[in-house]
Formats: sequence, C-alpha cells, structure tokens
Amino acid sequence: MEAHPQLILMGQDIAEYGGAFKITEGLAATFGKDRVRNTPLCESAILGAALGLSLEGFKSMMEMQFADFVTCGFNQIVNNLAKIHYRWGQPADVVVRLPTGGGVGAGPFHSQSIEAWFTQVPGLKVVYPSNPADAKGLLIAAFNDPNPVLFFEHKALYRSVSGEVPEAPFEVPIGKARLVAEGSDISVITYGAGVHWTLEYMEAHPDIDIDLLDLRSLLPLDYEAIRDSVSRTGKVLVLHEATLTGGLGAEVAAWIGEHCFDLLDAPVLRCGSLDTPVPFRIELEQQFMARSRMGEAIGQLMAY
Amino acid sequence: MYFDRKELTDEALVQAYRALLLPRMIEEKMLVLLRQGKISKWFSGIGQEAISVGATLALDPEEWIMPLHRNLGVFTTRDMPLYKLFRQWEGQPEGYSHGRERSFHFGSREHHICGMISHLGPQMAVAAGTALAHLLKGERRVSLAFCGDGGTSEGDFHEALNLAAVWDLPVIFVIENNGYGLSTPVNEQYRCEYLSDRAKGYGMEGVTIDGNNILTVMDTIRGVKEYCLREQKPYLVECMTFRMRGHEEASGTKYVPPALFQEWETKDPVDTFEHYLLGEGVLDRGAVDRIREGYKEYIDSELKSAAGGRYARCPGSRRVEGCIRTGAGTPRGADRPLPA
Repeated sequence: MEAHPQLILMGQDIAEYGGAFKITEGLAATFGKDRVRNTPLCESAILGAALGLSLEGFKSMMEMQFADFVTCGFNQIVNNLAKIHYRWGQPADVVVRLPTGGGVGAGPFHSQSIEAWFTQVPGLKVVYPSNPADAKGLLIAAFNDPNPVLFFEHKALYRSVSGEVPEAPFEVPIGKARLVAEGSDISVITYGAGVHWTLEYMEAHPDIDIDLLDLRSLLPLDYEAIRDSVSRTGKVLVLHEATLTGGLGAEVAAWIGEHCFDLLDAPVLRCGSLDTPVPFRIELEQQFMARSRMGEAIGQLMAY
Repeated sequence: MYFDRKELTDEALVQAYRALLLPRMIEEKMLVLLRQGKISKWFSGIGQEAISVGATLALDPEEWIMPLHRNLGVFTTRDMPLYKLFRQWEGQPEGYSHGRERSFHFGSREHHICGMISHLGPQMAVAAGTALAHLLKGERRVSLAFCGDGGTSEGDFHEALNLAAVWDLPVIFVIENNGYGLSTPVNEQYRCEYLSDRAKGYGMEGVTIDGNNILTVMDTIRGVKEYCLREQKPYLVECMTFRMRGHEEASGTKYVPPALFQEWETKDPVDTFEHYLLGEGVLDRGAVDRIREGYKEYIDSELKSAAGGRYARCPGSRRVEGCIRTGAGTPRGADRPLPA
C-alpha cells in the first residue's frame, strides 16, 4: 500500500472487520476506507470495477471471501480481465486473492481447489504459495505485475504453518519454482498443502530420498525446474489437493511425457483428490484428500 | 415528433444533424459491403442512432463511454478516424485490435471508449470502476454505460447498478430498449412496465424517454450528467427505440410483426430531425444534399485509405502471441501499441 499509492483493496468485510481471515486487519485504519473498501456481495461487479480502475491508472486487489465464490465473478476474470490486453492493449492491473483448499471440515463450498479452472486461461497468471516467505514475495510480485494475477492462499496453512519472513519488501519471481529438498529416488512435484504433506512423509520415511519441487507458480510453469528434477530421479509423482481429472497434474505429467521421456525410468504418476465434491464429515474428507493415497503412489514408483 | 430546441443555436442543431447522419450513411455503406462479401458480419444500429449520438454529444470527450454493438454513433461522434474503423471491421492488422477482435469489440483509450465483450452485462461495472477512479482523483467526470433491453435481465445489470448506488458513483446507465433481444420480444424479457422503474429499487433516479428524438436524448443526458456530478449519484435512463433490422444481417426479421416496422419508420431519428430542421429553416434542401454528398465522398475516400494499409493484403504477417503484458506499471495517456 505504501509502495503503490494507487493500489485499492476491495472485498467483502475487508475494512474495519479485517476480512474473513483477518488478512487486511488494520489496513482500513492506516490507509482509509477510500483505499480499503468493503463491497456488497457482488463478485462480478467488483472485478468489473477493478478493470475500470485499471483503465484510469489504478491497481487493485480483490479479496474473494472464499475461493469457491470466484464462480460468481468467473466471466469478468476469464473474458474481460484475461483478454483485454490481447484484444486492444489495455492493462488489467488486478490481483485476485483466493483463500482456498480444504482439510478443515468446511464442506463442498468452502473447501475447493479450483486453480485448474484458471490455468487454462491465456492472459492470466496464477500463483499458489506454500509458506509465509513465498506468500509475501509472491504477493509483492503480483502487485508489481501489470497482468491479472490470481493469488491462491491455502486456508489450512494460515495457522498451521509458520516461518521466517524478511522484514523488507522482496519479490519471489512469478514463474519460478522452489526446490525444497534435493533427492535422487523420486521427484514429488507439487504446490500448496502438497508441499507439507510431502515434508511429513519424508520425515516418516527417511529411507526414501525425495526430490521435492514446490511449483509456487502454476501459470506460467517453471519447466526448467521440472526438467531438472526429473533428470535427478527419473521417477515422478505429481501431487495436488485438487481433484484428479483435468487437474494441473495432468498438464505437468503430459509435459514431462512429451519433453523428458528419455529421462524417465517409470510412468509419471499423478495423485489428486477424489473426483467428487469435497465432503463435510472429516473422515469422508480425509478419504477424499490426495494425502490419503500419496504413500501408495510413492510405493508404486519405488517398485520400478 | 416534437423537437424542443431550447437554447440550442442553429449551429448546434446542424452539428447534431451531421453527427446523427454520419453513422447512418456509414451503415448503409456497410450493408452494401456485406452484400459484396467484403465484410463478414454486421450488427445494425439503424433507427437507434439518436441515442449513441445524443449521449456522446452530451458528455465531455474525457468521459468514459462503454458502448455495445449498435453504438457506431459513439465512435463517430468521438471523431475516431473512419479509415481505421474500416480496418478494424475488415480485421486488418492495422485496425484497432490488429485483427484480433471483431466489429465493435475494441476500444480506444485516446477516445475514452472501452469496448464490449460479447456478454451483454459486464461493461456496466467497468463504468462503475472508471467513475470510482475519477471520484478518488477528485475529478468531476461521469462515466456512461450502454445496455440493451435483453442485458437488463443479466445479473451484471443488478450488480453494477447496486454497486454504483451503494458507492455513490456518478454513472449514467443507458438502456436502449429496442424491442428485441435477437428474436426475443420484451414481453418474454421482463414484466415491469418501464425498465426505468427499477431505478427506485436501487435507490437511484430513473427516467424513460423517446430515444429516437436526438434533442430529447441530448437534453436528458446533459441534465442527468449535471445531477450525477452535483449529487454524486448514478442515474438510469431508458431510451425507447426500435431495431429496424435483424439482430445481425443474416438472422432476418421474420419474427417481427410488419406493423411495428411501419410504425417506427415514421419515427426514424434521422428523417424526423431532418424534417424538423427543414421546417424551421435551419437547413434547406440544398444544404442537406451538400452534407450528404460530402459524407458520401468522405466515406468512399476513407474506405480507399483503409484498403491502402501496409499490411492490408497480408493479414498473416504479424504474430498472434502476446496475451501477457511485459514491463511493470500502468500506462496512462496514449494507447500503447500491441506487442508484435
């Protein structure tokens, strides 16, 4: 807000209340309600207004209260924001923040992982940090970027993950993956909560030497980092919390098959959540989650 | 049709007539080009020009307008070069969208026109955004968004009007009620008597006017603009008009009762205004003929210039990538060239 005096924040309950997850707490008091704006319940109109602000030289950030509600603004994102630069050269200088993901027993409409709806849309950038430092660096990078950027933040990680964050502003470049751990047995290529599932798995299975790649940026993808990881192990599991069919894992697996075939010692495996809505009851949700099947997939790969 | 010139000088009346006639004559030319196969599609605004032209004349050139596909009069009244418009419609690389977009799906920052996408509701909220920008910058400007009778059924209509009302934004929402959304008549579109009645539900003012009377449109939008700036509020204007041709030229008009065409032909915005000016002695027949002849030559010559573009005959010569913006920051002022 200090670095970009033209930056306007908009969203439901984000001003005095500080947002459903308190991400904007205190900002209205510091920067005023002209710049930190509560909105009516109208996702489409706010995204349209964000585009209008951009035409007049403003930047804006819209907070979806839950990523699930982005459906009500889908058209503005995929048709107006994503295409206006291509169509007639105008900026859509808009960041959309989307609290996403499940694992907290919140049911079908407060738990979804819907990033793949947007990674198929040319004109957008999609990022998905897994830790506090990346969240800061990617958010700053998103604000500095003149394109529409979708910023997915996992709700379950808000409180369960902590880490050092440099005080000074810094950018994590959009389009660069992070090698979390270098290994030689198998590659796990993942993002978001999948990073933490894999770290836990690694702790429980010190005998398996896992090369863990956190994509961080889903559009564009860091193909160089993906290839490097494949070349270290020859065996790849693509893991995500989103449902399996047509998920981002399909794209990554297809790319590896197409471009790294000569590096592979096993078929590229995907592990995603079940192709169902996200169930409410916690035992059902655990069955739904990719996490409950990732060990099996890793075992399968290790057998090659 | 009753024309009330109020304080308008003869010169202002002639300016309005010229602005009204130009899109009509361009469209008549486009229909010929369509029949000759030189353009692929045309969405006609014939019979509705008084709304586009009157509204644009009532605003300042720096005020944003969000037009739709029958608003040629917005583009011509903002003095966009006609040869470049022709290049746009022909899909030439030197058109406004470099061949990437069809017909009126483009805009021009220089002219403060933000073009539509095909969905007939999203642009209304964009107008709320530009109005918010002016408000935050302390600039006294309105933004104006067009919508059809069909578009009022979209959720975006509701969202945009409500947002503009809640945030006290000076936006003029103009409904062009032309009787049909493709083949759907208004009695299958909504149940209220006047669409402007909906304004009350949003806590704003609304009015229904004769959209075929250019002086009524100009006077209304001028007054509404003053109100919006004085009160810092939005306003809903419903302009009654009629679509004199098909949804687009290929879709025909079989579903429209012929009596409606006969009725609205007598209310043609160009003919009635021309008749009024002749009757008032503001123009004589010779002057009208000279204006028309001048436009005919202008249109033909601009069409020739359009065909002379460097890339006119090799539309495959430029790459189509480039949906991601490079470099930081937001440009202001002149249009930036699209990436090659």
